[in-house]
Amino acid sequence: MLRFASRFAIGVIAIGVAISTVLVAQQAPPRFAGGVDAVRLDVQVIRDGRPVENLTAADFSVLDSNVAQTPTLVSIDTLPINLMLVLDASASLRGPGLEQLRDAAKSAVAALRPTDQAAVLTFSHNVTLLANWTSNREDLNKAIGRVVAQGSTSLTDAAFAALAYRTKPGTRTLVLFFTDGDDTASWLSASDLVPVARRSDAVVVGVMLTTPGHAGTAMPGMSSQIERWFAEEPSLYRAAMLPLLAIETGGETLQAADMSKLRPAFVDIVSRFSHRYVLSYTPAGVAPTGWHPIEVTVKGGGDVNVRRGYAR
Amino acid sequence: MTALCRRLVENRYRVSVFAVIITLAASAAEAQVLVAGSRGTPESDLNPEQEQRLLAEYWTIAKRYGAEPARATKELGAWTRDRIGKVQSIQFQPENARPDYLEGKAEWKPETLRVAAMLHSDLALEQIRQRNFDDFEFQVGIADGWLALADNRASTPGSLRARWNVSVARLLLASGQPGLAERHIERVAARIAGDASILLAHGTIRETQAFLMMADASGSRIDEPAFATKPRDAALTSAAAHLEKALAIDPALVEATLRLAHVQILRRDDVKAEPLLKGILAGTPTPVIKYLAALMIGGVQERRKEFEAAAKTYFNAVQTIPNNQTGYVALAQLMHKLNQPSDAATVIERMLLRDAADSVSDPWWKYPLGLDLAIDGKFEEYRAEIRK
Repeated sequence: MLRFASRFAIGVIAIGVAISTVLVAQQAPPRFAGGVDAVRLDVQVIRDGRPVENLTAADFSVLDSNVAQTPTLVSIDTLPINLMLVLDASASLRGPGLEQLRDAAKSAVAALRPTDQAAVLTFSHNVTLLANWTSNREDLNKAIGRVVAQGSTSLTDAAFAALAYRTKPGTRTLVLFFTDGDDTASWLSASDLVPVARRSDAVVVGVMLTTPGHAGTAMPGMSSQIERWFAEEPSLYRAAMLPLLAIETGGETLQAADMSKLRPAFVDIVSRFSHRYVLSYTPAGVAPTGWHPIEVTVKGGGDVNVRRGYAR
Repeated sequence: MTALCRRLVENRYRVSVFAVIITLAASAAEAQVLVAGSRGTPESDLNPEQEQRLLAEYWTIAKRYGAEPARATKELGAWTRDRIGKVQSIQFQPENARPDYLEGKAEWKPETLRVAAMLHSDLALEQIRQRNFDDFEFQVGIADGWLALADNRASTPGSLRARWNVSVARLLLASGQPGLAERHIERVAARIAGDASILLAHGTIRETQAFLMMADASGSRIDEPAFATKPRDAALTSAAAHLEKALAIDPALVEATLRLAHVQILRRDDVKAEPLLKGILAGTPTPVIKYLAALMIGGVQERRKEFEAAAKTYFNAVQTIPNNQTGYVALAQLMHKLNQPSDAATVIERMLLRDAADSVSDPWWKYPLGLDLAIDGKFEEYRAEIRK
């Protein structure tokens, strides 16, 4: 009881400090986040349905706010991966599907390199951190084994927690987000997440279970029209949130026809993330703050998955 | 009417008895229904002697419920819907009070009818546990029918029938069935006017429907906003109307005030919402209501870009119920909005690393489900009441 009380006191102090920061922030102009000037882009190039390999920096053209930049290619071997598994653990997952989800999550962890690490976040009505960042596979598997299905679905709050959660500098973060349903318990609006994603370096890959008649199933491609509707009525079109977060961060959204498809999908996602390109550049000729739209093209053509831009 | 009931008895149509009983009550012109062994067409394929035996068997079990509820529930639980439906069809159900007829017949005394109602209520609860909503409605319909008869078809606000039906509607809502809950409460509201609890439940259900509504999708098409907003806005209008009526009857219903404020927030009418919420906080609300009102005011302030005030209000929410997550999430998101991701991360870490983070139920996630989810306790109260 005493331990709990002292933890609560620490929590309140931390929040008090954070609030005073908020108050200061209102008086000061936004600062350049982290004080780091370099911009890093996680890029995936797809040609004929397959990732394109062996590209060099010279193959890429990068526009930051419509101004050409000079990127260098960072070796992905020097950048450990942080895999944030964000798993729907609401009551709808009860039954054999839960074991298939656990199996898929363990397989995703197994697909990581030894230097990579992972964390496990589940969401039902609450958001729960089952495992903090660690490269210990045994701990991660134990945590995944503790996933239980109960309660309603705080999908948006969980997505926020995942994107807001701190990662180590000099790493790449993949947020692998699985859900089988609709948000029923979040405080945050789906539209709150877009600016958060724009400030994040993480790449979001969403895996959604296909549900006939569900709005999320009707918008796999996320047309610009649905994006406009989402901006207009975020609650009614909240099924577009995950696809939109994926687009904003340079990720993708996959639809699984049934739970048995999760395992290969999870492994493939991690594998593909391990083979993306990482471009880095110091912005030149652009404003230090505000929204910076990014456009990346590649010689020889192909579909390029890259974040839409960044906010500073 | 009689033809319809015969079809029901013969189980050719899976129409719930609930619907029939309600229809009976609504049909004032048809003063008397299903009189076994009296005037009119026989209502079942049983002969009068068989009918009486069936009735006797049924009422023996029903009366046993008072002293041995588990045994009675088990015994009647073994009956088929068809068999129970036969009892319903041959049981005399006067449209109006018939003391001359009822006198001396124990099974038509109000207390006996209420005992039978609670027996079917327990059977209904068992069905909802099994997610069998069809049979749930069947049992609920019979229970409501007995409660209506016990009140001589003139149930009043605050009566056992009114309170029990509110609990049934709230149970459906809490079970993730807002559509069934709405259908149920609409029928009850049409029969018991001027009950603040019924109006509050009705408003709550419509509010939740609006809150959880998504654009309708069929195939690869999805409704555009011009269409998608209509049912949502209609639900909000309906919710506001019911909550306002509830407050007109009982201005002290704090939950109705809170929900009305939330409905106004969903309608983006913060000017109407804020005074309601401030009024709640100016009183002596429970921690749960205070927590929710603080979160909602924080949201209004944030929408007005009064970030300092919003941060303080969210902080107050966290202080009110420190073990819950929503206050932390709201605060962290505000920091992100102010381009303070590091502080947002600190708050989120604090939230996630708390031991208690998953051990309690945040009122916010219970809010769409009806807030007070201790509905089992309500049914226990009703059981105790009929045993008095």
